[in-house]
Amino acid sequence: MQGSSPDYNNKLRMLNAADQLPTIFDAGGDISLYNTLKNNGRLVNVKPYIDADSEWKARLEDDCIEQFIEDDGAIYMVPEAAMCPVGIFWNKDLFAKAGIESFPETWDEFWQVCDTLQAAGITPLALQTAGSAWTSMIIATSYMSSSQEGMDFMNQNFPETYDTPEFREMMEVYVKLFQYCNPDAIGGDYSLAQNHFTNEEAAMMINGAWMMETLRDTNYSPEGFEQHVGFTTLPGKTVVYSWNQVGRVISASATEEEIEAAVEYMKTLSTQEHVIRYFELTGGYSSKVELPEETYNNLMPTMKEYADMFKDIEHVIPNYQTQWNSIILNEVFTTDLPALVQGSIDMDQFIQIMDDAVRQYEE
Amino acid sequence: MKKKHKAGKTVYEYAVMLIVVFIALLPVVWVLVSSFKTNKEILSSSFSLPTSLYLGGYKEALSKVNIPARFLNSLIVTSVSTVIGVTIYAMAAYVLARKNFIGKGIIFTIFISSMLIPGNALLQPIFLMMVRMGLYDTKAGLILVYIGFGMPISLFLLRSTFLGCPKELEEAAAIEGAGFLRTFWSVMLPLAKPALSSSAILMFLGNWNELVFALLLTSSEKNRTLPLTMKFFTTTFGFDYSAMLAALVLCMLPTIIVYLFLQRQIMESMIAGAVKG
Repeated sequence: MQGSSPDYNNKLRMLNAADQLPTIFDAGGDISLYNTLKNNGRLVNVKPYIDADSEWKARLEDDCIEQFIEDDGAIYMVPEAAMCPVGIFWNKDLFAKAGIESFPETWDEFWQVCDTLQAAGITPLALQTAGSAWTSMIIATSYMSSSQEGMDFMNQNFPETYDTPEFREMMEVYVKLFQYCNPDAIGGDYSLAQNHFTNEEAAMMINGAWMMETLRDTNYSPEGFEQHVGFTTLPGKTVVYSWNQVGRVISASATEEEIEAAVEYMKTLSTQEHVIRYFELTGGYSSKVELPEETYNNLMPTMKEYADMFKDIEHVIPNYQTQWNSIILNEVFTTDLPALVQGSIDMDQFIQIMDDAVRQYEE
Repeated sequence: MKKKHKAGKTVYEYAVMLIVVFIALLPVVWVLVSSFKTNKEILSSSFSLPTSLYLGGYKEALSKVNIPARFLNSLIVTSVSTVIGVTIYAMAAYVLARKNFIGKGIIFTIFISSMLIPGNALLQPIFLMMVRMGLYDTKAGLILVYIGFGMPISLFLLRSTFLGCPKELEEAAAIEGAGFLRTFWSVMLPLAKPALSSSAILMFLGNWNELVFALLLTSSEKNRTLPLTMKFFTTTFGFDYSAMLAALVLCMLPTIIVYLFLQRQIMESMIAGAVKG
């Protein structure tokens, strides 16, 4: 369910136009579509159902419920019982080769580690720019959120302008990241970045726990690779997650019976049994469900570190993919981010392009 | 001197042919070889040979998607739309070529100009029509759309062919007592065989490979066609190129085998179709 595809979102738009929306669907991958559906009364307000079942409500994450409450008091996205935050995978062997014993805790230390790794002939970061620049933009936005002004900017939903000192500074850091990465990062896609990390050609990669299984799959990684990969928070004990990146909603066109069934189904997704299984498969973590000891002991080392990480998290910053519009993510990032990194356009031009995309989106 | 010149020409011709064959075969060979490689090998050394015969991609492809069922769906949808399409367009083309009636030119222009409408502009209206007609997620819906897609090129080719047929043959058939239908069926249609084959092949190939409308107009596994299979193996934060390429080989294989057996007929009809106009 992470980051639904453009094909999926296009089909939802068509189904909506034909009044044929499925009973339950994921509207989190396209916030503009979600807003359209919400404003046109196409979604069920699930708040009465949540209020009517205190057991279900107690299993849901309080932060999520709070964030999903709309201005009119309604809740359209069904609140989640678990989160899959993004942190950082790091190759302990490559760190040790460069004489580094632990993962950096501050951004200053992070840049020092990058320099040290590079001096030891090791590529510090596995990055990409294609496909909304996931692995690189997460680092830059996390850096920006380390200041209050930056955090305020990140908390804005669809900012009206990107011409702010925080965003400019962040983009300068973004360009700097490309001094420390694989040569095919500019224009490269997610699979290339992951391949560099899982083949020990880069020491760090941003991602979520859904990548865990590939660490021990020899189709992707060398034998035993998972034994020396760590998982931790980004500097500043920060992880990245937006509750609405998975935004399950119920269609108002469904019959009363279908809606009741959909609510019952959503309730099963929050049961202890389901949440534990969700954690094992993709790292969905619930603050309300304690992982059984046996389950924890059976996890691979990196997954254990992931589970342990939750007690250290101090900041959860929003995923930029849910905060910025689709023209920026799909068009500007595809063509203009590489141009900025390569120096074909300067920072002023890039910010102008970002602001033009805001105007275009509003129109 | 003449012999030398001829030999040089032959070498040149072979060189050009080799380059063309290399360009045409390289992607197919690459897909085939890469389908036996791990993701690691595909991404790290795209053009190397596999270090071992990795069959995991094939296992994954066959376990994730019912490829034989999708193949059957593609075969049904493509064959039925091609047969119905070519039959209807042959009849329409004959009438447009031989009969005189008011608005004939405009009707033909409207039919042909549908070729100029971009596919994306048709997505929403066709989707709505299919839903309203109760044909969403049915093979019949897809067949109907594919018949429509074949109209401009088939009509163009077949009308041109009928226009080129000598009228004397129809007159002779009339003298022998053949009616309109008999003349069309027994005299004109056999003459138009090359154009019929060209239309059928063009429609078949286009519909066999069609992805966008198949994705839009179907939702259940029982109606999904072969081209949609590729969508299973890459997501925003995941990829399995080994399985995707293995699935691609499984999808390509039947068409390549059919082509190997029917290559002469296919080439002849393509050439015949190319010179009409």
